[in-house]
Amino acid sequence: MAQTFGQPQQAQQQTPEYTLPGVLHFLQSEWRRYERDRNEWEIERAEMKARIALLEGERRGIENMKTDLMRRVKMLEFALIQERSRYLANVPPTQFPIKESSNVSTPANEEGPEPSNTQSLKSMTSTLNSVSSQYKHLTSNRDPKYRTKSRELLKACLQEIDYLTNVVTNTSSASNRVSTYPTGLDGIPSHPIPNGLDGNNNATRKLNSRNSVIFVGDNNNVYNRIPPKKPGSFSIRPSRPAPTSPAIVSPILPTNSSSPPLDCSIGENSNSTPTERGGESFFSQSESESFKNGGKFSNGEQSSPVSPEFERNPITNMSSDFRPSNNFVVESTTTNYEKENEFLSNNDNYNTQNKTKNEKESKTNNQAKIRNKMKSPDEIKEEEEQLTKDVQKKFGLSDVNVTKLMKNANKRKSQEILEINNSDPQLDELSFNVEEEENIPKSEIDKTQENDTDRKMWRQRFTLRSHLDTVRSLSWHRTELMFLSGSEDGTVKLWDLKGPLIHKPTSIPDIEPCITYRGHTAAVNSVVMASEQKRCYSASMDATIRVWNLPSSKRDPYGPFDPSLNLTTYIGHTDAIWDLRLFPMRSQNTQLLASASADGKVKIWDTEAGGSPLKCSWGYYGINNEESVNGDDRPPVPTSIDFVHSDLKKIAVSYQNSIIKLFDIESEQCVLTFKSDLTYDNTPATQINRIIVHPTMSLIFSAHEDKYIRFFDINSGKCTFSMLAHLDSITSLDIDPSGMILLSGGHDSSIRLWDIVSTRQCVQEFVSHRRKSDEGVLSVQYHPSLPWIASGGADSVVKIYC
Amino acid sequence: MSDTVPSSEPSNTTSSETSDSSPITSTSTEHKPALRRNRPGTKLEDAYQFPHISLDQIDSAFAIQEYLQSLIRTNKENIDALVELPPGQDKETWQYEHLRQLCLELNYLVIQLEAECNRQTCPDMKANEWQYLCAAHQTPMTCCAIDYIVHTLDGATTLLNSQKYFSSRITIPETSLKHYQSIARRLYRIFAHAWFHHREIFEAFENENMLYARFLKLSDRYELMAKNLLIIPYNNNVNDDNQDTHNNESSELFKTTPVDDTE
Repeated sequence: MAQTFGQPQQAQQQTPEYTLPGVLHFLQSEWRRYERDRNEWEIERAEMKARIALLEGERRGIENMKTDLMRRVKMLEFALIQERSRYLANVPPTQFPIKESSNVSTPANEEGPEPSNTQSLKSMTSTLNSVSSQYKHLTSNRDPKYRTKSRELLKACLQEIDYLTNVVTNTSSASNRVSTYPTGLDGIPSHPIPNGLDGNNNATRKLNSRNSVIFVGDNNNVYNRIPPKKPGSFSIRPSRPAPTSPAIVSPILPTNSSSPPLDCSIGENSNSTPTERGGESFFSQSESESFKNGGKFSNGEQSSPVSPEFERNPITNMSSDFRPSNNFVVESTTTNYEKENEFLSNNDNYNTQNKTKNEKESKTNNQAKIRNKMKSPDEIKEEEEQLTKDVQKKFGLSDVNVTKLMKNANKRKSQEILEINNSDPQLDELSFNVEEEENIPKSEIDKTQENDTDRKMWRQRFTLRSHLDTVRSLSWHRTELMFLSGSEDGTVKLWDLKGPLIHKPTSIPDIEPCITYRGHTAAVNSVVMASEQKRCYSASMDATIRVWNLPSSKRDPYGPFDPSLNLTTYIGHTDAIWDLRLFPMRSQNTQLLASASADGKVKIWDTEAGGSPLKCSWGYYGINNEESVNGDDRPPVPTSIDFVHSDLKKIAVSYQNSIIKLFDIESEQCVLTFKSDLTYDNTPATQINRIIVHPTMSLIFSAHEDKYIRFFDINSGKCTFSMLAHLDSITSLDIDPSGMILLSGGHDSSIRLWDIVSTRQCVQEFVSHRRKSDEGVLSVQYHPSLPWIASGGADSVVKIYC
Repeated sequence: MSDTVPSSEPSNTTSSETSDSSPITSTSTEHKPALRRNRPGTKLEDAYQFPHISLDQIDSAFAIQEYLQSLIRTNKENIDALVELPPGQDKETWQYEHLRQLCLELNYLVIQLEAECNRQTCPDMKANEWQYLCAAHQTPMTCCAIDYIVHTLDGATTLLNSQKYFSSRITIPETSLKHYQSIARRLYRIFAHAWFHHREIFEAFENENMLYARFLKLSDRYELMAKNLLIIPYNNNVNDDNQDTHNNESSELFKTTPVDDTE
């Protein structure tokens, strides 16, 4: 105060025309004003601090919830796997020695938590309860007839998982929006505000791309908002055949803007539009103010581009103020947000501040409605906690185990997200976050960052040259960044990409294979990596299958030649072998391997068997009646095989006459013949080159020499979808680990990715390999657990994409 | 299956025409262009049964390789025709494709050698009285024979696929040509070891594939190796006209001298 009194005196001397009292008065008022301002700033600062704390708390809460639910999902998956293997073990093999069956069943029985599986499932829902007890009863009967029943059970389980994941992602998507809106700030102004048609298109696209989070997030908004309309029709995972769920699945491509979820979320957008309409200067407001706007802001980002759908909506058109549009207000993002808001904020500042805001009214409105409509979260939380405990107890899972499961889950999840995120920048960030948490190699983070602004596109990362002729087959390691390539030059090469990954993309030296397996005396047609066995298998034109040990990871590429890596050779086929498949599940004492050869036979080998590895073998007409029916001297030759994942006792085989048959492995009889020869013209020019069975849905995909890809229902054998997919013959197919994308490669040198769940359209294409003698791409493979693709072509080159 | 590619075209007729100079224009014109591919399910006997067509008819980035492989499939006995430079082609790329093909086919010899050549039987990489040091390592090492063979083949394959030296298969940079000689020299030692220490395998393989004869002709035609380094006595499987100045005695001078080969 002394200072302030001193100053006026000086001022008086300099400017004598002012009177002392006048100046004093002026300074006092100035000072008072300044103090007042400072108080306001203080208040504001405190308020913002509170806000930050609030948001952080919210984030933590949601993260916890996410972990929690992921853990639960993992446990359920674990239960599923247990169920499945138990089921496998319980059905007695009909044709094999008894030794066999005991072998199979022991591992299952040895595992402690096993018996309680069904019980733990019981605790999930009462309906499931009945099914599972039924199931228990049925499996004890050991009748294959009841497979369908068990499939029902599995479906129910999947539904449960779906439901739980829905809840997770629902909330996390809300958190995501909040936490990422700074990006929105940057993004929106640069985005042209749509006025004309173009703008509208843009808007739609943008909305669509947002809504494609729906796979993970928004779709369950639908569920939350209109539960009576579509109970149980929500789905994250493609656990059911696609045809039954087109409406559920959200569009990846901006084409079908008419699907219900989209409309709903547009309603959601419309609700928040008026909020922003109040001030066109919304985005030019200071950051502190946008903080105040909180939850609304995240919506504003979506709503500023006005979509055609929005204009069609009469309610929103009429709405000049909040109320009418608030019909839609109970929408999970905001509601959750507000809920949390209320829940966490015991901060008076914030509330008082809100009083001055004109949206306060609407907010209270919202909150009231939320309380009415969404009583659930807390209850759900409790229930779920209980469930966790139950499951954990039942399975005897220690926390360590759970965290282990979680780790695996996270790995896979991040990968899945990577697959999906093509369509959504937000999702990119999500995956980015996930990755960050899990210390996934930095390069991948870089990659996602680069892709932040765009849809995630696969890009070529490595080109591997070492083969001297056409690369015909590839197979990834299940977990490592290693893969096997088999070539027409007769060699099989093992590659490890961990080393090259540390280099910058620009300065990668020539990548050499870890090891070159020599042994085949003709072109290698198919390779398979058996990661668990630390082995690999290769099948060749020379009619043999060779079994190789994987070398130790420390092996020098130019280390001593080790003949012990060459384990054994399976001799039995009498002509070129064209396809090899490993049985998807490995039990302790058996690991089956299937091979299809030009001698007309499909053979199953037990790679762990002590004596003769050959387990069974059958031709086009099955095991018994081959000779009788066999009129022509050249019965159709198998071209490709794949185990049926939903029923592991069955194997699908495609033949050169464009027929797909389903065989029972044990009876070696054909159980179903697909009507797959729609365009067959009695020449190999219309044959099926490759089939692949979807990992979860009951679908088979076939790649035809006459450029078609067809979808078949495994149960009915009917073709459900057919498309001309390439400009030339299609040679190879693979399905991404999440089951959403089909990858195909063809002689037109292109590799295409297809959305198989909803639009069935091509989501990406790249021309990859150069042609040699009318051949282009010969093999495409997704890494089973990491976001990588490998392709091999006639140009002797292997290319790796990420 | 009924309609197979016109595969039954007897190889003799084609070969007789291939044998004189390279460009065959007449025979390979088909009524319908059969696709040159092995579809899944193709039987071994039907595989690669593409009609031989002239080089300028092959429309692909790997025309020379295709052409060479087609020549080998149709008539591998006619060494002269195999090695002779197709008119209008670049000498360097032709040699390059030959070397690639050599590496490819040497794989099959190595497979045979693996059966009886191991650390015990051949602790050193020797041919006649020569001993070779393996150049695949930082400093040349005395690898045992099978290691040397595998390393040499891997190294040559890597070099031929090197992005740095052979980034294109259409044009070979001048500076990379020097590698031809070292590749040829090292690959030759595989033949030499097989000939001196695993004669039966060598002969059986040579009878079937004529690979050594082709190699000899190639190195002679394009001067890939100094004559005095050819230590396999010239008598077997080799056309009479392709060897003239080969001097078997010269190798005596270098007996038991380890050859350090690091270039």
